[in-house]
Amino acid sequence: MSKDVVDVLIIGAGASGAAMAWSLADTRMKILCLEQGDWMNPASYPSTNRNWETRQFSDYSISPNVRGLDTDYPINEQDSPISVANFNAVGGGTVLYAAHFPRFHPGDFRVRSLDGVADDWPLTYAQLEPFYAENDLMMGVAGLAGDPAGPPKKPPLPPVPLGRVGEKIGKGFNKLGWHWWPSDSAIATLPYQGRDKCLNLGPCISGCAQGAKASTDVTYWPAALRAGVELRTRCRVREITLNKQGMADGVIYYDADGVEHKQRAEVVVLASNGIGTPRLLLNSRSSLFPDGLANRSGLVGKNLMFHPYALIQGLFDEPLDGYMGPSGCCILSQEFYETDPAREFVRGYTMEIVRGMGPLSTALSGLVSGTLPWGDDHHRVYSEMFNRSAGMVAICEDLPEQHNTVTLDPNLTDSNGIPAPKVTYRLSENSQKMLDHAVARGSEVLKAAGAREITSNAPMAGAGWHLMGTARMGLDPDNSVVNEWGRSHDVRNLFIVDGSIFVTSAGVNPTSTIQALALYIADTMKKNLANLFD
Amino acid sequence: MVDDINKIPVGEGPLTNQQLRMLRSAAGVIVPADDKGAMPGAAQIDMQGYLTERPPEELQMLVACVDALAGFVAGQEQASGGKLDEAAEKDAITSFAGTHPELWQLLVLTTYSCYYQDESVLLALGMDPSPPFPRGNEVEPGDLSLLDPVRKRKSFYR
Repeated sequence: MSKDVVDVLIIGAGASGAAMAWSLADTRMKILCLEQGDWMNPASYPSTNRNWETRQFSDYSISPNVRGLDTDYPINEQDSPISVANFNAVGGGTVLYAAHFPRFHPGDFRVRSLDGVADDWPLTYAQLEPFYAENDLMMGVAGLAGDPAGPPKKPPLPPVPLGRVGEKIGKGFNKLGWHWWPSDSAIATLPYQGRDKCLNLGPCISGCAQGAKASTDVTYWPAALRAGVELRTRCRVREITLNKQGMADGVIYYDADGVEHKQRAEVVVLASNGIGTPRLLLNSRSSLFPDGLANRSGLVGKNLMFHPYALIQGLFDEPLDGYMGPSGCCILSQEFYETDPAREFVRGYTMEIVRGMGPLSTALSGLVSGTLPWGDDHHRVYSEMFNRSAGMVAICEDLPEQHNTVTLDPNLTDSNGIPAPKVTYRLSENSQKMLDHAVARGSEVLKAAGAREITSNAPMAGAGWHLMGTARMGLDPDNSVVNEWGRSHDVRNLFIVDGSIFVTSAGVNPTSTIQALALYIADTMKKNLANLFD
Repeated sequence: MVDDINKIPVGEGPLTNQQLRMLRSAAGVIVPADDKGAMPGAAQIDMQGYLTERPPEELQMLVACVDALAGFVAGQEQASGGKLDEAAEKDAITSFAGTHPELWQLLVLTTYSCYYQDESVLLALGMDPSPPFPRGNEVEPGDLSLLDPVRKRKSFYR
């Protein structure tokens, strides 16, 4: 057993854990973060080697079940049409994300009031706005002010290049009179705070060898460590323990050699994403919490939200940019973001233009879609595809439904014997209609931009990279797991700061909001240090 | 890339000499050299080296596919009463593709995975074959005046 008691123990060194650690560091409290993964070495990222494309399908796959690294845990996804994408490392999911960084809209926090579905958040955009701004500066967000589709903001860096793809499809949007705008991207388009600027390498989602993409190992963590936060890697937490008074008093974790340790703490913060956090809570049973820690509401693990994604692609007659440029960040459209009663679904989606594909991905895409023949006609058809494809993904808002869950698998475990999570999820009728609409509108834009041979795939099976809702926020302890500043209703020295606490998912990538929330929660904790457990 | 597949040395790798020869024959059917000589055929690629980077589970499945193909071709040879010439072997392989679509899919996937990372192929496609980092790429910044119609819109978020 470790003899030292830390003031704050953070579980998870990803997007939210890093922001939390950095913000709390100025209190000079003794802060420790335990991360089951390790530090990444950018020199070994796929873009440094000629086999950069093939590694996206093996050790740098976004799916932990495909990667099977010793820092991964398996996930039972047999009852879900969407597979989880995550990554365990210092930086967490930000190591592999595309760095798309839009904010929620103010209305995204008031879904019940505006559209009569789901619930309202117990806080507002206005309350989060200063923390969005602070996070934009820490991460280094590239964008363009003046977007009429969202509230005003001032990105600190100029936008990512449109490239031929952005211009081509932007003209398509203009033809239809639809909204589009350069994407907010957590990518250094100029040298920024000691990081060099983006080189348009392409395989951003396999780690950024340049360090221009804002993963938290190169943004928040250096500053947090300088401020005195301790970060221990290869430490996999099994459960959070309670004292006799029903307060969290620490965790039990395994080190890299599988040796069990107890770490005591005055405050425990969970930052382990929408799958990892409920898994840990459900595995932390006790006589006080037989259904899992902090689960008197019965909502831990429930209301799982992904973002159902549609992929729409087309071929163009002239060369585009291929794989070059920030792969997932180009331009976006929120023409169909807000609810329109004339449509068959509520809420909406963002269309995010994606750049083209490398040579192998082009071939594999053609193989999967059945559009690229092998044999005598291979080269002819390939030459019409390579460097000539572009398209978009549509991120559809997912509504919270209690039957979409994360539970503990009764049989599957990780390498330390900890029960694996089991995901049970089904696509709602609202989501399906939204996806259908997105495919139709996306096809319309690509045609307007001059594309031919348009193909689509919805829902994208591997696109479970946004993990939300499984320890939701709220004012009512019967209908939520944590309060309006992330504190557990049931255990007053337990906080949750990752995407689990989302009440609704909006129709945008969540990382900007996850980190803004983490900073907001940290700030609120600091303001209430004297009576933190009241 | 080599001109004669028989001259490609068989070093240490996951496939035996015979298996590699069968895989190369299949690869040559999947991606033949183009008739203008601009693109090499997959049979000319040294696949063994790329295969050592594949996950063990995938290699196991690949070996099973290659053995199944070899067994099929051997059956055709037996039926025809002798060794197949190049054209007849190509027909046999094509026939296998039709009767064993799932096994064939893995052979196609493997061929593409090796072929489209080979330096000779990348050069033929007009690409710089070096890794993306630290070379980097040029991407045009784009004309932001294209946004003028959007800028004229009033705010429409809730």
